[in-house]
Amino acid sequence: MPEPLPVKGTADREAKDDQSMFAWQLRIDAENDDPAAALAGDQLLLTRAIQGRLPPTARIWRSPSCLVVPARQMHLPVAVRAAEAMVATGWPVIPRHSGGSPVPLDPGMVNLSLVFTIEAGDTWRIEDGFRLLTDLLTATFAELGLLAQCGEIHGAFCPGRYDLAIDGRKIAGTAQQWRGGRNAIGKPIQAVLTHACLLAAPDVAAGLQALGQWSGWLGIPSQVSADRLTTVHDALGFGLDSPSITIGRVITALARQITAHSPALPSHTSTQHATAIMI
Amino acid sequence: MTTTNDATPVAVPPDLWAPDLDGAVSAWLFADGDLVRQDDLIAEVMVEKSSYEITAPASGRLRIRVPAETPFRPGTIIADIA
Repeated sequence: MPEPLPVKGTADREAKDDQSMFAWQLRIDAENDDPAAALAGDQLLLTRAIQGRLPPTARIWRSPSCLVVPARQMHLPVAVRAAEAMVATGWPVIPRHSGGSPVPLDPGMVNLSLVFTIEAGDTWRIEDGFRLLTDLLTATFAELGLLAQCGEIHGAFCPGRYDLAIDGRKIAGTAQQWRGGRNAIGKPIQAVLTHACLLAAPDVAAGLQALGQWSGWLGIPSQVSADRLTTVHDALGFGLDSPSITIGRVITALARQITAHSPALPSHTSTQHATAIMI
Repeated sequence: MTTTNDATPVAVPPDLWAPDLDGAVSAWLFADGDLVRQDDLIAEVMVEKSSYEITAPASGRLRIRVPAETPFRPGTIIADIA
């Protein structure tokens, strides 16, 4: 993690002025060998955002193989035993705070997390957070030569109205987490995490097998079908290239779109350009 | 839905999501009748694959008006604190 950026001053006006001076900060995290730590990175950013120690931040990251499940599933009676069994298969189970259903992550999935704050007076709805993501992702896919459309893909894992799809097959999923708190001067504030996972070049079959095992343990019918999913690697016909080349292209395109277009944020923030940090 | 004069309503912001969509409390983190303190995280609301934290607007005894997993629209008073 980088050192937090300083916020000068404690008065409300000064804090706002300082935040408005920040551009989007782009972080590209090195591959992490601990999936729990990879996911925890987003929670650290949310905490820093609440504390006023983080400018609007875009984090691009990847995780080793794991199954990311809604936290409520971990409360089911068999969940602990099932999670232990999943570790033995090489797919540890990591609970997450955002909504949706289980998602298999592996190093072929490229994750994008946007973290920013909302203050009283900002007109910003949950739908705005999704549009921030989907606009950025659509532009990224276009740069890669893919026409992506937004809409729920039934039969894909973790379906939602703000999925992105190529020819009716899901290629990216989205979710959000809003965390409430008070800023340094005691005013109510929301830190928002909008998250997307892009199927750059994952092992879809292995991920769905893990998903099926988990669902079987929990006694939840799995209605996921591989033919409702696609990957950038497959959609672009890169079969002879190494998946790592595709992953690199996706990361490069995402980073370029973020720095080129600086996604629009709630009114109290202002972004003119982005800066990049390689972790 | 109304609340008594001496109670503080716990309301979901009316403009948090589109008015034609349902959200639900995915988990109450305190039981009905528990004492809570201002700013305690008391519930998590889920809508459209998004989670939203509800914090206590006041200190007092929590009275839950909308049970977990019951659909509601934005702006709903889901509890009050007396």
